[in-house]
Amino acid sequence: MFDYLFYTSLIIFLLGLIYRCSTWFTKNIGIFGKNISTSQRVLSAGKGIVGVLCSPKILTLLNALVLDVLLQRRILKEDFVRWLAHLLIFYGFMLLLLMHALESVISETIFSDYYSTVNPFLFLRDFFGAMVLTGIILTALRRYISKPRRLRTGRMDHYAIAIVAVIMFSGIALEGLKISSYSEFERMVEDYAGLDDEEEIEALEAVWVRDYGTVSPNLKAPFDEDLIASGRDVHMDNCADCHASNQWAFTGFATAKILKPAALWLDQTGGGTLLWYIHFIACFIGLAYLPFSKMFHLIATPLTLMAGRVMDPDTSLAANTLTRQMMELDACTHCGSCSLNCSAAMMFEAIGNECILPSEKMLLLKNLASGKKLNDSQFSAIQQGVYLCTNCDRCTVHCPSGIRLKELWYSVREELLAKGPALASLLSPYSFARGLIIQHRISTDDYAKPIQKARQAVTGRFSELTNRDTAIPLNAENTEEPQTAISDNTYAGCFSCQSCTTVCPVVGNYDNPEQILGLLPHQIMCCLGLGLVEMASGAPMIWDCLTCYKCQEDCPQQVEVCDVLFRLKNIAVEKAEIN
Amino acid sequence: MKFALFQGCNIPARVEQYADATAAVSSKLGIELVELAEFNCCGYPARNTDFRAFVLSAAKNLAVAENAGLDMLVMCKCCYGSLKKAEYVLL
Repeated sequence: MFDYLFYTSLIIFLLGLIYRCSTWFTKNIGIFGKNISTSQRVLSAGKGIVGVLCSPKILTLLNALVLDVLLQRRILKEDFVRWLAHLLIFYGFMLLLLMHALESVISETIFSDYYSTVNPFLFLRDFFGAMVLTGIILTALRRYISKPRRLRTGRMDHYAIAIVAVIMFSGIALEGLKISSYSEFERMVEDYAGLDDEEEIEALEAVWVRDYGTVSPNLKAPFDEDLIASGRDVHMDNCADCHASNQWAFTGFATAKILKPAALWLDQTGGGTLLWYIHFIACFIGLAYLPFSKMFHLIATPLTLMAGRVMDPDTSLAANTLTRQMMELDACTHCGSCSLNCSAAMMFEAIGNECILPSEKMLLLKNLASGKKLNDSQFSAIQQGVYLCTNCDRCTVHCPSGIRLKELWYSVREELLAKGPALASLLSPYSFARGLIIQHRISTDDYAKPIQKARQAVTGRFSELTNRDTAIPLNAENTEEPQTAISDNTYAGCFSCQSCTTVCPVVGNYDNPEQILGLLPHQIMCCLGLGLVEMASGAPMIWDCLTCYKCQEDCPQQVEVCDVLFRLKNIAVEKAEIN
Repeated sequence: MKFALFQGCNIPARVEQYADATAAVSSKLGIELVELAEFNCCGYPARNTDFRAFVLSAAKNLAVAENAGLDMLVMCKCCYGSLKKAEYVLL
C-alpha cells in the first residue's frame, strides 16, 4: 500500500512537473515575444543556455547559485528573521528528505553502518525537524499574528504552511508515540533480543521506562537500583548496538513525556498507526501536489534567480524574455516584499483597488497567463493597477525571487492599454515615464493610441459645445450642485487681463493654440464665471497643462488658475467615470 | 544641518546622477542627509484623477518626516510642489 501510494504520487509529481515547465514555453502575456511559436521558444532557450554555459557568464551563474539560491541573500536584504525562517525550513526539510525519507536509497548507501536509531542520525533527524518547525512557526507568526499591513495571505499560502506543519507535527508525534509505545517494546524484545528470562526482560523494561521513555502498564517509578543495574547489562548486550539513548531524539522524547498520560491508551487503540498514515499520506500529497501549489517555486525561483543575473533586457532574444517572464510568474511566492515597499501604497489605501499592490497584480497576471477571462470590473481593476505605478522600480529591487517585476509591468501595461477602455491616468504629464522606458521597444503609433482614446473619453462633448455655429446660452440654468463650486469662486476676481494665457508655456508652444487647446486659460476662467463648468472641464487645454503654476503666480487678482485646472480635471474624470 | 532626503520615484530609478551630485554637494557644505525608508510617492501621478489619493500619498511623507523630527530636502521640484500643496491643504 505504501509503495503503491508512493509511486502514484511520484508519477503525478513528475507529470505535473513536466506540464508546468512546458507552460513556460507555451503561455504568453504582454507585448514581448508575441506570436513566436513554442518550438521557436524552445530553440531560443537552448541557444541562450548554451551561450551562457560556454562563456564567462558561467561564473556569474555559479555566483548566483551560491549567493542567491543557496545562501538566499535577497531575503536577508529584506529581513533577517524571514531569511532565518526560510533557511531553516529549506535546509531542514531538504536534509530530512535526503537523510530520513530517502534513507534506504541515500543514507544506507553512503553510511554502511546506518541505523536511524543511532547517533548522529538519531539526533540529526530531530534536529532537522526542529529547524523546520522553528521556521514554520516564525512564518505562521508573520502571516497570522503580526500580519504586516498590505501583506495578503491566500489559499496557496495557507496550504504551504499547512502541509509542512502537518508533515512535521505528525512526524514528531509519531516518534513520540513510538518511543512511549509498550507494544513496540514488546515486539522489539521478541524480534531482536531473544530473551526468555522474565527477570531479564523486567530489568530491561525498567531501564527503558526510566531512561528511554517507554510507558509500561506494569512498571512505574521509583525503581530498585539493582534492577536498573542489571537492566543496563541486558541493554548493553542486546540493544545498545542499534539504539543510542532516545533522549537524543529530543523532540520525540519531549512529545513522549507530554503524551505520557494518554500513551497506553493511544498505544492500545493504534494511535501510532494512525499517525504513521497521516505522516506518509501528507508527504505523498505534498509530493503529488507540488507542481500545482506554491511549492513549485522550489523549481521556478532558483532558475529565475540565475536567469535574471545572466540575461540582459536589451540583448536577450524576445522569445527568451517571454519564456523567462512565464517562469517568473511561477517563481512568485506571494511573500509581499513588493507590496510592503510599493511607492503607490498610499494610493491603494485611498482608492482601495487591490490590484494596485504588486503582489496582487502578480496573482492576476498568473491567471491571465493561464488564459482566464476577466470580467469588466476585474479588467478595469488590473488596468488601473498596472498603470497607477510610479515606475520607481522598488518592487524589482526588493523581490527575493529575483523577478523583474518592472519588465512585466511594462509588457503587460502596453497590452492592456491597447485592449482596454480609456484610462485617465494616461493624461497626467507624469506619464512621460512610460515613453521614456520603452521608447526603443514600441512603435510611436501604438504608443499614441491609448492617449488619444483617453483624451476622447474625457473631453467628450467639448467640440459640440464650442461649435461656432451654435449660440451658447449665457443664461443657462446653473445645474451644478454647490459641491462642485471650484476653489471657492476664485475666478470671480478675474478681469480678463489675459496674463495667464500670456505666460503659459503651453499656449506659447503652438502657432494656433485655440484650435489645439480648445480654450485658453483666461477663456476657461471666463467660462467658469458664466457657470459653464461642463464646457470648461471638456477643454483639451486642461490636459495639456504642465502644472508649472506660472499662471497662478502671475495673476494680479490672485485667481488660483492652476489649481482650478486641477479641480476641473478631477471633475472631468468623475464625469467620464473612467479610472 | 540635518535633513531627511526625499528622492521621489524617478531620481533613484532613472537619474541617479542627480542624487549623487546632491550628496556630494551636501557633504561639502556640511549638510547631513538621512534616508527614510518609509517615504513613498509624493502623490503627483494621482493629482489629476483622484485628489484624495494624492493628498494621502503626500501626507504619509510629511508624517514620516515629522515622526523622525526632520525637515525634508526635496530634490524634485514636482515632488516639492506636491508636498507643499498637500501641506497647505492639510493645514
